[in-house]
Amino acid sequence: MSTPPQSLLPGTLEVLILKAVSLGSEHGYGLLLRLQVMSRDALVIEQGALYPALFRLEQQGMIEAEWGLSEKNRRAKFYVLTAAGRKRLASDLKGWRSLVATMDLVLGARSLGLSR
Amino acid sequence: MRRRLRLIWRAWFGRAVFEADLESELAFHLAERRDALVEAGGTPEDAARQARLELGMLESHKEACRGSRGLLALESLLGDLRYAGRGLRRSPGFTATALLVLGVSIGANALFFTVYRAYVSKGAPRGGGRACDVVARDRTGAERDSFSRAEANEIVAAGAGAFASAYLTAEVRLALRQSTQSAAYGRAVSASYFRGLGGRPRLGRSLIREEDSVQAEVPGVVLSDSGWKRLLGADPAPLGRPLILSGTSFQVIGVLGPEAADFEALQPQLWISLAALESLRSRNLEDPPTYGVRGTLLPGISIEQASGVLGGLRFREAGADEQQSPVVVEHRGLLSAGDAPGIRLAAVPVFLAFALVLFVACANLANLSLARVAAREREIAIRLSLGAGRARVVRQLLVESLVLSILAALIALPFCAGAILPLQRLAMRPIEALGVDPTPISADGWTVVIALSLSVIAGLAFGLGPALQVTRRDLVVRAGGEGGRGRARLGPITLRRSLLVLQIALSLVLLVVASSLGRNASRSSLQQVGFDAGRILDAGSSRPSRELLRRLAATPGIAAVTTTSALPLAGNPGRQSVRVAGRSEALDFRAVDDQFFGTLEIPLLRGRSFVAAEAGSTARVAVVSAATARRLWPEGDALGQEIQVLAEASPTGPATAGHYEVVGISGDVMSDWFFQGTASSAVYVPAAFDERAPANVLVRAQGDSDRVLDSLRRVCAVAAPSAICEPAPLSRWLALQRAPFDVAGSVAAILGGAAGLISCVGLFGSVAFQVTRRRRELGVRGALGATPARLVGSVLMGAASAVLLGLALGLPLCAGLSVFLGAKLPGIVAFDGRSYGVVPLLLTTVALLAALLPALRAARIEPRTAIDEG
Repeated sequence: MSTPPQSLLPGTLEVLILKAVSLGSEHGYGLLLRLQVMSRDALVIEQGALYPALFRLEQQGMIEAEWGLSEKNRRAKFYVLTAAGRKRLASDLKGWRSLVATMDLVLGARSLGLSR
Repeated sequence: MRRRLRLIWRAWFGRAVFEADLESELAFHLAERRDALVEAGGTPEDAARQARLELGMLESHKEACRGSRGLLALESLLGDLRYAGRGLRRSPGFTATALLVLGVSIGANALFFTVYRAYVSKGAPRGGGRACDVVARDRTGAERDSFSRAEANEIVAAGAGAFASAYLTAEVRLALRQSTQSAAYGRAVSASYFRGLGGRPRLGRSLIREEDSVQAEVPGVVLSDSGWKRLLGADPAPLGRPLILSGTSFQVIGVLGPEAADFEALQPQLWISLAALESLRSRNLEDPPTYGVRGTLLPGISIEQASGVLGGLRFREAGADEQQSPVVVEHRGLLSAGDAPGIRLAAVPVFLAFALVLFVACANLANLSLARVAAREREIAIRLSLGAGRARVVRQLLVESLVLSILAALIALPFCAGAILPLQRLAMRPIEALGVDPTPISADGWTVVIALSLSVIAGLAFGLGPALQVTRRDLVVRAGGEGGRGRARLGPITLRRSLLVLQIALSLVLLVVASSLGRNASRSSLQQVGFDAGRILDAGSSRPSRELLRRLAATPGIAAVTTTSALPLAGNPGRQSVRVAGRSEALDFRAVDDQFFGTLEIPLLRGRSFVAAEAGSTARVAVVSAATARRLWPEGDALGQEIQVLAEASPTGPATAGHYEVVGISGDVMSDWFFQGTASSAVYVPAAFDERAPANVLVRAQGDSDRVLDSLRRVCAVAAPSAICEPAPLSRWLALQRAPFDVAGSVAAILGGAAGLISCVGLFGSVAFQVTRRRRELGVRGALGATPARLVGSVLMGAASAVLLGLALGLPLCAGLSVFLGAKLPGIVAFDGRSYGVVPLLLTTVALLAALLPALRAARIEPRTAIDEG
């Protein structure tokens, strides 16, 4: 059974892109497909939002771009992660996991858990 | 960071590449997506449409991509610049006026700063370092920058760890005997001086270390380029040529090129060794010389560290037995660090005058721009109502004023750089006439930095007020139309008016100061001196002798010869305490021989002059000037009165203490400083010529003074071979005294004229603008029967009241300045009647004429068309 597609939590697009780029050099459209596959089609990423985010990350030095040829022999811009990007991804992941754990704790609580 | 800058750089300057890349990246996305949709079973056309739909608004994505590269800011800046360019092109009159006004005021200020920096401010460059002085600073902060040889050597030895090169130097003036006698200006220096001077000797060599302490049999002299030209007439083979300097034979051992410029205000003509100077002094029975210690610091050493290195040194000050002054290092300009504080103080009013001109320029341009933006207020109000942020509109208007001011600075800079040298020449003319070349100063990187900084300040100063004023929220209502035309609002009008009033006030201050200075300088004209300063020549011998006097008396062209202890017009001879009629006084004494009054043709109004016997016996008699007599004995007769001299012998005054009887009253002369006017403390006592006492020989020329000057030089060369001889008419002293007043007067006149003109341009623009704005109202009044004269009058009234308010504000400012100047320089006429009368009248007339021209247009308004336009 497939879950209906979900929209992104605000502020999470960049970390998703970083993760997708971290798996290997890829062009923008490929990154979109990658994210779709990785989320098993659960995430809908607005196609237009992808490119400004890529430009922003490139401007910040998190990713680097190089022109190359795609499988279908088309000229495409390929992105790779930089050292700074790798660091940022690690710290974002850590932050995300701690947020999820905290959210789980709160949302999964059955009682206040305080005993005298 | 570098990466990011590279990306921004690429985005800015590889704009086309950036856009093409963005385009192909999005095209690639569309193509891939279309292929995927075709593979899923769609037709190519449907797939392409679907792909475009999914990607969404292409242009807005592109915009977002540009935004993430900082390109939007650039785009809006470029937009602002284009907007400014269009606006300025549309009003060429305003643009040209603004460029002129700003260019003149920014250029003048940059020029002043450049000159000030060169002379006073820190860090004249020398041999790759910055020039430093060593000074001993006592507890009161007073500085001494000359040291005995022993002290100087001690400083150099102690400073070895701080100085890249340190040297000893003393200014020298030597008598140069050629066919006639003249003076040579130079410096005695230690050999290390030449290390930092730059360039190798063009011919021969410079001084070597051994020559610092050991006097060669024939001491060497090194000539500068200026010395080679002035002293040897650019002789092609100068090496080994003998020069007789103050009676001693020297020979030329080297000539330096013009690039070897010293960082003193005056360029030396020659250099001699320390040993040579010391032996000259002792041979001529003079005191041993004192030296300045200068140099450059080692790289990485600050003046504080250098002072620390010298921290252990303490020198005892003369006259203060207990006081020990620490030695510190200071940066210097062309003037020595010791002179700088005085000059800095004197520069304050000059700086203020220059700043005032820039201020007037800014006020004027603020006024013009206010009129200009007010004319565009509808457009601005509409833009504000349509949602443009106030900040955005203000920024646009500011960019416009900044473009103007920066452009003006860039145009002014070459003029400023080109004007420095001619102006320096002009100001230094009296010094060049003495045969010495001032060190040329030139514009440098700092001039550019200062001009651009000033332009930014000026641009903000005149742009911000109008921009804020015109974008005020309450004005937005006007776009609705109800107040769109007709009466101007209170805000801009009041601001414009206040600026105009301020400009007129400041122009008045500058012009009155200029006029007062000029009037004071002209008071020194020859008729008012009391003797013919052009025909009375100072023989200029540093060691006059009886032989010289005898030969001069026999020289054709010389009508009379006299000696005096103190030259007239060469400053105060030094006052002496006396008691007169029971009061204590301080009077200026001059010891003169019996020929003095006759030679200078100073009339004896009453009583008699001295007789030869009195001069020989130093009799206790005195002659006082008429003004002195009036001041000391206001009611009684001065003749026969007594002056009691309290102290014993002074070098210039009476030889003995005691009671001196007044035997004569002479005509008034200006004998000290011209700005002190006729001397009212002048007392003459008799003294025969004495070769041991300091004395000056004056002669009265008959006929051509220039020919007599030549004779004087020839006679001096024969009669006093080792003495300096620089004969000059006394008018040269007068010119030297006048020079600072002349320079200050011209500067103030130019600045005041510029400020006045700028104000008039402002007034013209303001009235013209007012007539345009009030066109409809004036038309209606015309239709209702107002005569043209009445209409013109009503426009003029506004201008006239601004001018009068300006005068009302400016005159008290002038008066305050006059009181201040009067207190500082008691001799000058601070409240010069003509300056206070003529200048305001002139300014008012010119200002009203400037207002009248556009006001006349009010009379030509055709009521029908004016009302129809409404």
